[in-house]
Amino acid sequence: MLGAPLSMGAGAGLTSFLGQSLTGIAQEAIDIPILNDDARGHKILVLIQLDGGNDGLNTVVPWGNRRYYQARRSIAIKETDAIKLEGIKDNQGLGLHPELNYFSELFKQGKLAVINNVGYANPNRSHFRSGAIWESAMENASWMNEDQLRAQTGWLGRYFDQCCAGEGNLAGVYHGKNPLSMRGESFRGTSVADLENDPFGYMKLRNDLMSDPVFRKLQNPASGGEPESKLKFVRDVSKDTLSASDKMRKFLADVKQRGNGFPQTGLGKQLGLISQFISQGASTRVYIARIGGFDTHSKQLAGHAARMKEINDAVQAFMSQIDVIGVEKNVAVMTFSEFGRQLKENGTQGTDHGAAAPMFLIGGGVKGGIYGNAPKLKGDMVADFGGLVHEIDFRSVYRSVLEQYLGVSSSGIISDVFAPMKLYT
Amino acid sequence: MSRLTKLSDQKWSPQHAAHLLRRASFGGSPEEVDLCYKLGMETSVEMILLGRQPGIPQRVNVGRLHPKLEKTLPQLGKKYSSSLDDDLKEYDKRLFSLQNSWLDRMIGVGAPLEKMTLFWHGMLTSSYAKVQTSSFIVRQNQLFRSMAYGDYRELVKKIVVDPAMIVYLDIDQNRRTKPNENFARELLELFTLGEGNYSPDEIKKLAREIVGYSLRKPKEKVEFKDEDMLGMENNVGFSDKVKRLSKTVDSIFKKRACGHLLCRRLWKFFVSVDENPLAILSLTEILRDSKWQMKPVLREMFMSELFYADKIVGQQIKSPVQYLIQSHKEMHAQQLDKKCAYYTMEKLGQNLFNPPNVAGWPAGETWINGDSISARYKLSLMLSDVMQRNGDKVVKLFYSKMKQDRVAGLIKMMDHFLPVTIPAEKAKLLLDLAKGAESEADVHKMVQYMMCMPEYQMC
Repeated sequence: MLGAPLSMGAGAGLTSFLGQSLTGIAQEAIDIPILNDDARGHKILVLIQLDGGNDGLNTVVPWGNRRYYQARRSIAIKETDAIKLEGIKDNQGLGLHPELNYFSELFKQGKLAVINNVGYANPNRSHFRSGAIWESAMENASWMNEDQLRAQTGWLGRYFDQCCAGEGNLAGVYHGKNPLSMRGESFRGTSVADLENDPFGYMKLRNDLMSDPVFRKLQNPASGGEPESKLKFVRDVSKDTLSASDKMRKFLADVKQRGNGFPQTGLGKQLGLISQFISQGASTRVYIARIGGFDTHSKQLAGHAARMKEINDAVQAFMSQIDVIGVEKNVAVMTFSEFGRQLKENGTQGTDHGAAAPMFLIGGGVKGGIYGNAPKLKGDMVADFGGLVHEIDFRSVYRSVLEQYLGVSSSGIISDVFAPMKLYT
Repeated sequence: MSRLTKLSDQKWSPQHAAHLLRRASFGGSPEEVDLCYKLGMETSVEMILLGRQPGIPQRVNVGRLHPKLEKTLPQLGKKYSSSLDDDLKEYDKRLFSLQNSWLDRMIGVGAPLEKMTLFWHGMLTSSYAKVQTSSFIVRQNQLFRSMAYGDYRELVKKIVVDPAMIVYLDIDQNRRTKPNENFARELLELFTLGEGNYSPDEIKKLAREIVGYSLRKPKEKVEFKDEDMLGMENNVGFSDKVKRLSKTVDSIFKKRACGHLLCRRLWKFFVSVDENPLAILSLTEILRDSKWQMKPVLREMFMSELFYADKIVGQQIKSPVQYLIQSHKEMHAQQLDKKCAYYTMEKLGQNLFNPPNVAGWPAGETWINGDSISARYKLSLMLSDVMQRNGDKVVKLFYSKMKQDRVAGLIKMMDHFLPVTIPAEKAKLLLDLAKGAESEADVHKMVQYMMCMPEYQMC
C-alpha cells in the first residue's frame, strides 16, 4: 500500500495523505512482538535485584562457625533459628534466614542453588560503583572510574544485542529506573511502572491523542537519520513507546486481571505482573524485579527479616503460579545485590558495606545444592576492611546461566577469563 | 590555567537569553525572556547571582527559619523516634505540603535561587523517607537556600551538624569506640573529594572524628584522640568540638582533589551531562582561588562561550521538576497547579525530598523511558487544560501575533516552547496548522502539540 501511485483529484489529496500515514503506523507497530505463538518454548530469566547491599551472612547463616557469633554479638541469627540446609551429606554448617522457609522447601526439592562467596577482585564499597560493576560485568570493571563505568553496556544488554536482534525492546522488561544491566548498544529494554492498575503506563496517554495523526507524526525522528544525541534518544523512545503502546492495548485487553494470590508487597506485585506476562505467552526473555532497603547500617534485625519475608513470600507465590502455567523448566529466578556486608557488626546493631555474599538461583533445571565453601570468616578470607573475600566471580555465574540455561555463547558478553560454573546438568 | 572565553556582547541574542533563563532558572514567560535579552548577559547573570529572575524589579525574600523553630530545633530530636509507618497517609500529606511550598517558590521571582537550592538538594542530599521529621527537612532546605551562592566549605561545615543529615547518614549513631562509617564515607565520596581520592583508612579516621553529634543527647562528652587527619593537618589542641570539626573539614578542603567534584556536578547540572574536562579544571581553579566562593564559578560558567554553544543549547533532558516549573512559566501560570505538582512528584520520577539514594538525583537519559515520556505528555495536557480554564494568556499572545503574520507568529511560538530546531517535516505540519488557525482554540491545540513533542523534553 505504502507509496502506491494513485492518481486522484486535488480534493482527494488530504484523504490520501491521511490514509497513507495510517497505513504507515499499522506497519510500524509490527516491529515489537508481544505475543508469540512459539513463545512458550523459550527460556525466561527473572532477576531479583536487592538494592543497598544485602547482608549475606544473615541470609545464608554460617551457624556452624563460632567466628560468626563472636563478630556479631547482637545481630547474629541464632543456631536454633536458622533453617538448616538438610538433605545433603555435608551441609557445611549453613542455614537459611528463618523467614526463608519456602527457600528451604525448594532446597529440599533440589530446585535451589546456593552459591557461596560470590563477588569480584578489587571490591568497591560504593553502592553506585559496585552496582555498576555487577551490572556491566566487564572484565576490568572494578578498575574503572565512575565515568568509564557509566559508558559501559550491561551484560544483558550485550546478550540482547547479540542474541535477540530483531525482537525489539520488549525482550527485556524491568521495574523501576533504567538498569545498566539491560543497556546495550542498541537495546534499551522496556519499563513497567504502576504494576497494579496501569501495567505499561501507556494508558496514561489519552485515547484521542493516541489516535491523532498529527501527534503521531510529531513523535517521529528526523527522516533520513540523524547523529546520536540526547534528543535523538528521546525521539527514539517516544516513537517506540507509541508503537509498543498500540500492541500493549491489544495485549492488555486479553489479560484477565485475576486475583492471583500474590502478596501485596512491592516485590509481590512485581512478580505477580511478571507471572501474568508469562501466562499470556509474552515473548519477553528477561525480567528485572527490584527490592530496596538492604543498606542496613543500623538496627538491622527487624528490617532485614521483613525484606527476607517479602522475598520468600513473593517467590513462593511466583513459583506456584509458574507451576500452574506449566512452564517450570523454562523459568529461572536469580537474586543478586551490589555487595555483601562486613563480618563484624558496627556500633549500631547494623553492618557496614562489605564485599562477597551468596547468590540464589532457582528453577529452570538448575542443579540444586550448595556451591563453593561455607564462608571461612578468618585469615585472608576476610579483607582488611572486614568484608568477605570472594571465591567465585559473579561473571562465572552469569556465564553458566547464559551458556547452560539460555543456551547462547557468552563470547562477546562475558570475558572468557571467567570460567563458567556448572550449575545445570 | 586559562579562563573560559567569554561570550561577546555582539553575539548575545534572544535565544541566548532564553537559554540562560532555562538553565540558570526554570525558563521564563515571553516578557521575561525579552527583558533578559534587553538587559544583556552581564546584568542578567548578576541578577541571577542575586537569586532573582532578570528584569523583575521585586526583591527576593530569601526567608529564614522562624526564630522559634530555630531555637527549639535541638529538642525536636525527640520526635524523630516516633514511627510514621502506622500512618502512611499522614506521612504523604506532610511530604506533599513540604514539596508544594518549595515548588511554589520556584514559580515565583526567586526562581534562580531555587534552582541553585535544587542543585544543593541533589548534592548534599537527605531523604524524608529516613529523616521523617518535617522541621528538619525544612531547616536543611533553608540552609541550602541561604547559602546557595555562598561559601562551599562553610556549607559543608554546616551540613555536618544539620539535623536532617545527622539522621539521614547516621551521624548520631557514630561513636568513637563503635564507629558507623556511613557519613564519613559519603562526606569524602559524594560531598567533597570524590571516589578514588581517599583511602579506606582515611574513612575510618574521619569516622572517629565526627562523633558526638547526637540529637538526643547534645551534651554528650566527647574525648578525641589526636591523630593525623587525612595526612594534612593535625588536630592537636582542638578539644572544642566545633573548632575541631571546622579544622577537620578544613583539612579535607586542603586536599588537591577538593573542588573538582563540585565543579563536575555544577557542569552536569547546569551545562551538560557530558563533561568538558578542561572547562571543569578551569572552574575548579576559580573555585579554589576564590576560597570556595560559588559566585565567581557560576559567573564564569554562565558567561562562557561554551555555555551557549550549539551542542549545549537545547541538548539537556529536562528533569521532572524542570519540566513542571518551566511549563508553568512558559504558559504564564502564576500559581502552582497542585494536581500537576502531585502528578509530577508521583509519576515522573523526581519526588522532591526523597532522592533515590545518597548520590541525589540522576540526570540525562535516566529520566526518559516509555513510562515517563507518556507521563510527561499527560502532564503537558493537564497543565494546558488548567491554563485554558484560566484564560490562556500565552495562547492569546501568540494568536494575536499569528493574526498579523502566520509564519512570524509560528516562529516566535516555536522559539518559546522548543529549544531546538525541529525536523523540516514536523515544521511543515505545524505551519499547516498555523495557516489554518482560525481561533484561540486552534492555537491552544498547537500549544498542546508542541508540549507533547520529543523536542519539548529538551532544555
